[in-house]
Amino acid sequence: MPATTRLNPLTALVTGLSSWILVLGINDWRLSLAVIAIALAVGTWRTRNASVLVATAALALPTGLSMLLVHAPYGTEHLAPLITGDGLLAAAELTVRFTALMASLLAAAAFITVPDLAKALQVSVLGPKMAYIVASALQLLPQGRRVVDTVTDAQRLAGRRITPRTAIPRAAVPVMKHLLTANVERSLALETAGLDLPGRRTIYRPAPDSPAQRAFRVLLPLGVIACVLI
Amino acid sequence: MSQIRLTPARRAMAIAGALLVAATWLYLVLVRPTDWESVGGSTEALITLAGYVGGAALLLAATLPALPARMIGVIPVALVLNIVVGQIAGSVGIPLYLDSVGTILVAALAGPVAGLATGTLSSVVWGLLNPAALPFAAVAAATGWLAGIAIEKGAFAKLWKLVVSGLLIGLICGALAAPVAAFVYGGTAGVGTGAVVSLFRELGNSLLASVTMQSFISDPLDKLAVMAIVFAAVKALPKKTLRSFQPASADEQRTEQPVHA
Repeated sequence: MPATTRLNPLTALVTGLSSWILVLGINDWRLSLAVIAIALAVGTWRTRNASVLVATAALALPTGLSMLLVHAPYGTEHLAPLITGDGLLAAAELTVRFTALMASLLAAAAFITVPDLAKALQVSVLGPKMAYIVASALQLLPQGRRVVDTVTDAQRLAGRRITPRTAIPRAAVPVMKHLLTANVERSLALETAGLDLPGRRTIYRPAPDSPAQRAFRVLLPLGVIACVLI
Repeated sequence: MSQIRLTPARRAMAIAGALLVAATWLYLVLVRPTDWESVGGSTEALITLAGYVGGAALLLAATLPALPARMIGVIPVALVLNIVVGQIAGSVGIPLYLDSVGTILVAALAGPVAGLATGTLSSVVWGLLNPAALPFAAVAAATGWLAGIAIEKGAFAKLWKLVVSGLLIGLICGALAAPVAAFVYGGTAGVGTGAVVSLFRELGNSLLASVTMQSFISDPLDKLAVMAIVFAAVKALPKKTLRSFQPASADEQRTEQPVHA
């Protein structure tokens, strides 16, 4: 992902969320397909790799199979045992709609860096607490996954297998204990740093923003809602 | 257990959020039973999205400012626990989600308000990586709040109370989650759960009823397992870690006052 962007993370998120209202409100498979195409093209252009496409496919494939199971047998135009024409159509339309919802937010997320998101949230109405939680959780996730690997490797080296029966005592509980004890000091540091104190914080290098983007963040959802209601 | 008090204004906002979610659920499930099959419709999807996401936003706006800094420091860890413990379960083939361990842990140690905020935030943060989680924010909020209430009332005191609480929380959350799965997504996102929904449809149930019954099978067992895991984890945690969930004492607050010249 390129290191810099002129797009405010909140602008990207509002665009992604507005497309949810549009896709669900218009509820037309052609619009959903158009949203998928635009989201995947923009996401791929932004990341210079296929990560948005792969992530969208990873979410859409099991959902598509589930839609087939849930809808395909229950239409009125029987094509074969357990398959109906209108049931297949409903499954396809709902899968396309779901894929459009996923692709639009994943493409929006491709424009977000964690530091910029934290800075944008900090000066927004959501405030410094929200900024800290979102940024910290996103940065902590790789550490959490490493702890899972470390714990499972340690259990294997000790000759203890992790099976569905032993996964909770041998993996889940040690991971919880490790992550909580390793990060407990942060709480005291935050208290000392004055996170509870009211007032605006100074940010030396704020996330990129402009009056046009601020107006866009208000006008886009309103425009989409108007479009859906008309 | 620490208690987080809400100001009257925040309490009113939290009640408004909860009422919005409850009203949306009642409207979708009870008032419009004839539309249960119209899952592809946009009206139900938008109503679900607006009611659940709007309600969750109000709940978060009411509770987040009330959380002390000590709690804020622990919530990201809880959110990561929700994700990684769920992944441990998936990797070894446990047929449960186990994706609310961090939320219920915070609820157990810091009370229902902190649990509610952690649950909502969990869906918001997870939604940046897996957008499908976002509309379930109100359900995650209910999980945290209900678990906090149950534990406050003694769910961890006796085994039967833990079992009953876990099953009850699962039933309520399963019923709350069903309209999101049915109306926003048109079914479920997993092949296994899809097969169960299909089986219930084969028995003549509507889609919403089938999704709800599928939730009634998986969610109570899931929440029961999570309550048991959290109980074990709380027993295993060092006292120093448990103290980090307590609000700062008056003495500590006095010593932390800035020195004025």
